[in-house]
Amino acid sequence: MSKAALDALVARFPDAVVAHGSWRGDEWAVVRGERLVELARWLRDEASPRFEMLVDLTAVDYLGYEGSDATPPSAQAPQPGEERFEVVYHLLALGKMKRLRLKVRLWEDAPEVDSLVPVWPGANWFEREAWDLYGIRFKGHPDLRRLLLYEEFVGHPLRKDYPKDKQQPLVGPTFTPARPFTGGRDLLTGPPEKAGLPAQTPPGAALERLGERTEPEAPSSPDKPASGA
Amino acid sequence: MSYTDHPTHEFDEAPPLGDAPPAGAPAGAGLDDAPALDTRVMDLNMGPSHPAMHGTIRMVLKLDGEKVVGSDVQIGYLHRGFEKEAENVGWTQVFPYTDRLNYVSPLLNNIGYAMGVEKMLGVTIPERAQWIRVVMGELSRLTDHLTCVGASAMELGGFSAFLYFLRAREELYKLIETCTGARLTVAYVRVGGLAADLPPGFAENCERALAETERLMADVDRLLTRNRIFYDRTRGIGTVSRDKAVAMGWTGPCGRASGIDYDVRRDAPYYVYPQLDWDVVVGAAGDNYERYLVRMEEMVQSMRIVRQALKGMPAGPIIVNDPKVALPPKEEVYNTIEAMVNHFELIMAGIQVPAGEVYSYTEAANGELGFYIVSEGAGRPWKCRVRPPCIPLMSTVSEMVNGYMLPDIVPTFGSVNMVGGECDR
Repeated sequence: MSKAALDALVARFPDAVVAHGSWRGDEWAVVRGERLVELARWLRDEASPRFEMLVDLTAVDYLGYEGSDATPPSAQAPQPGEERFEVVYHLLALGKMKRLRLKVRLWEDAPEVDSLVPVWPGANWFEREAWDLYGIRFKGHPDLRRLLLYEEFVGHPLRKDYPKDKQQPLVGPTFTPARPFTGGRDLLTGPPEKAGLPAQTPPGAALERLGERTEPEAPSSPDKPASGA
Repeated sequence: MSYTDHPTHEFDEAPPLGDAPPAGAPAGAGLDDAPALDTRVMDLNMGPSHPAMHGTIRMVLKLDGEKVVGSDVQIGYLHRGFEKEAENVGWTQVFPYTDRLNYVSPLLNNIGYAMGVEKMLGVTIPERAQWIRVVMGELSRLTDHLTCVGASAMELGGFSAFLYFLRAREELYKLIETCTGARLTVAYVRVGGLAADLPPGFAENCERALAETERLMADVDRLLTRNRIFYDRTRGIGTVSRDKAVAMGWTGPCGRASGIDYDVRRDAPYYVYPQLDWDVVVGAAGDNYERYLVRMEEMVQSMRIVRQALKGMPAGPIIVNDPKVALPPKEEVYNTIEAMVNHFELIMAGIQVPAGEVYSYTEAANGELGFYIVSEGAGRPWKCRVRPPCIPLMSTVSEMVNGYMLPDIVPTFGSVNMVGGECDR
């Protein structure tokens, strides 16, 4: 469908496109990560048709991938010990309804690629998701934190070496710990101090204190707020 | 450490208001003689357990009075690891998981996933299956839009509209149930076709349900469209320009309300949509009211599609006759050895999808629902990525609510039609 656009990309950046092809009507190109932003800007602003929209961004972990002999080149796994991840971008040219798939291959030890947020702001959450689930870093991302999981989660669950049934410790919200429950009896039968409450203000003292607002209030509970998770 | 001072929450620095004037400035400078009020920017957690947050969204807001000066939208409370699950089951077994993506329009997710796998296999489904998929998909779109509009109205106080639309939705769910056996968890579509044909009398029941829906839509239209309160709460609120929408990747009714003239059903036509007479609804203003109008009109168009499709539907098989893809009929399984072997192979090893990768996309109720599927050439997906139409919308919500009032979050968030199952997967 967008063969012409793919050819134009290859002609314009012959050294940045590592491989390209078409399968089942989807045009794809594997590009060098260090040239990605440059390519993306060209595709958005100057290519014909202009790919104005980043429809999707995701990553694939090819660890242990064994395509059969019929494997089209688009799905050939990177060699073991070399490139393990692919970051996949799906572009759409709105007026012409042309599509293009860009892929960047990344090494296992330092999966990192330039962020496309400056080109397509919509990449923001997609990149956060790829970081969350695959552990791929996006250089220059304004706010790269987990999207679906919580910060205390250990690991990146969509990696092929993350076991599906792995358990993570339950991390609850960190509240101020409550006083041990002593029931209401303390309040009824003993002096308030016994229940951990401040001593009762003698009548009339409140009126005297009206003028001294700056004085800090006595804490209602002796417990300190929790520090750290 | 508490949630509100979590180090990862970053906002644009809003200066605290009402601080003492800088040293050297004359007392009361710029404030006439009014005494400086002791106001400050307040943090407020909205959700995840909040009636207007549909249960699964948390917004950490910075408020100056009732004005939102900063917001952080946090999702993931409904994350179930759809992709990880899909990588560990057979191709057909993914269907129940897709039901739970957008659980208000499960049939559209079924269809989107099936199209992806069929694209990898190079399978064309029988004509009758195409027509039925169109009918069931549009019915699902109706239930989705009914829920969205009804819930938005309810959150603004229009409870009658909500009840009317839920009643219409109920009619459609009952109709869907007669065909699929379930209201929500349908798992009705199969790779290569459908699980079952339409039941007898479906067309008449459908016409009855559509007539009821039309009647209720007319009521809700009279209740909401020219309602002063509804109009004032939605018009000009949560506005998103076309450029912004394109940059963020908006599709679907929200994108069309912002002026993006894009509908997968027309622009990358699939099944029998090109043979039917219907219109793509495009707005311009890009605010909450426009999104409401687009959804209302799209329901009218969906009903047009359903009526035409039910009339034009040919007879024939509903699933491909390919023993590598679809289970053979039961009478053959029990009476012929070939069919029994095929049945055994499909059940035990599953459909063998050739190695490769495709991106397949359909128009779901919220926009372009994409499936990026990678196969190893085995009986289960290597990767099954869902491109949820909600995510680009939700990633914009923070900017859509900043600068507006706190109560404006409710219609803005409602009009985006976030569905937790699809957003968080």
